[in-house]
Amino acid sequence: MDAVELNCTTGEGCRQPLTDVETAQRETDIATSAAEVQQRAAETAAHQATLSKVAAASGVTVAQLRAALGVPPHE
Amino acid sequence: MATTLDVYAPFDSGPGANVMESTWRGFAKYMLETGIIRNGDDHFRVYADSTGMQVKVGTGHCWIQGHWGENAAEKVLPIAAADPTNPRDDLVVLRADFVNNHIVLDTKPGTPAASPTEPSLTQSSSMWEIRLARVRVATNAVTIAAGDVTDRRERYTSNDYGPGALIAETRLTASTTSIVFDQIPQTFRHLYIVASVLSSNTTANQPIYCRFNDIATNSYDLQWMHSSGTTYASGRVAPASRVEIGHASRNDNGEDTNLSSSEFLVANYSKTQRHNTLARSSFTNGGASLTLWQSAGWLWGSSNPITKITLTLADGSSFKAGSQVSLYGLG
Repeated sequence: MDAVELNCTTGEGCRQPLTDVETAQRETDIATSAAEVQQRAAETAAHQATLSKVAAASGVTVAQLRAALGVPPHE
Repeated sequence: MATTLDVYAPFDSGPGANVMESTWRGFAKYMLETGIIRNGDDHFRVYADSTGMQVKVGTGHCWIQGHWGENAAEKVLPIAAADPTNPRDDLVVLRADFVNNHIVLDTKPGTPAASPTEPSLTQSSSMWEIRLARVRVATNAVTIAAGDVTDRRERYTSNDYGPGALIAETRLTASTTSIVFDQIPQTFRHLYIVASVLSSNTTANQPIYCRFNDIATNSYDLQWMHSSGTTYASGRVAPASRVEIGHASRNDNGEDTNLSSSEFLVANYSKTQRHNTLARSSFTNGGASLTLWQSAGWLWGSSNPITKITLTLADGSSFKAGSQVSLYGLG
């Protein structure tokens, strides 16, 4: 793992191995990114579940419920 | 019936042939905006090296309200004696003096105070100043050190680079984990990044993480909206430990024909303010169709000028060979 470093003042560029700090930050980012993806998926699933329950209680399909409420596809 | 303008020049005869200094200034100032001309020299860089009460100014060309000037060799400027009670902020300026008919390098002493402020510029029909550097003159100082000088060159003229200039660019010939733009000159108004990149990851599109000045604390705030096919979504990440300048396309079996397209604007990056930024990107999943388009606004809760930008991919994958990232300065 390395970094391409560009000095914007001198115009020089080089490759440097990641430092220990940068490597640790990379590990943190991987965990953070995975957690955020998981959280968004959970929120979307919860939203869909709520819509399904309301539709079922109303005796209509989710599509009919969306149409009746004028709800865009993402909500 | 044709009606002549009040002033016009230069012409071979008639009123337009009587071109004096003021007339020249009247039209020449529109040829090029006032500022330091970017031409590969030292651009009037001001520095100190602890050699006494003085600073040094590098070579450069300037264009001030239609007047041109060149500093062909480094100059030494004296700094006034330090105040015995309070620090002081002086300005190093370029001054076009329309009364005395010359362009000079000069220092403008500030007022000593516990929290000093730099003196203002004079920009009038008599003279026009542009700032080069701020010099902190410590209480009882007997020398000026490198750290006492702050680069205050606000902008260059457009010259033949146009309104924007390419500051630095990389087109990768081998994969890398991180792309770093360091020592970013503080001489433009805004920064603009164009990233066209491919991730080494084959399973997902990845946000391009961006950090300013190596700060990775929870000092950032994101609000975003994207569309994917016929659906769209929005959300917020706050606090966040980064901004995102866009996305990388997914690795598509070793080819680099599906590079993403991302743009990122950092307005007033050299100012001491909280930085609002704007990012837009679109990318594919390795196929021939567009997968997602996203627009996002970011806030970095720091008031430090941005001097360094570090890019990584969210999942720790690499920027694949063929990826290209360009950093532009605007204005």
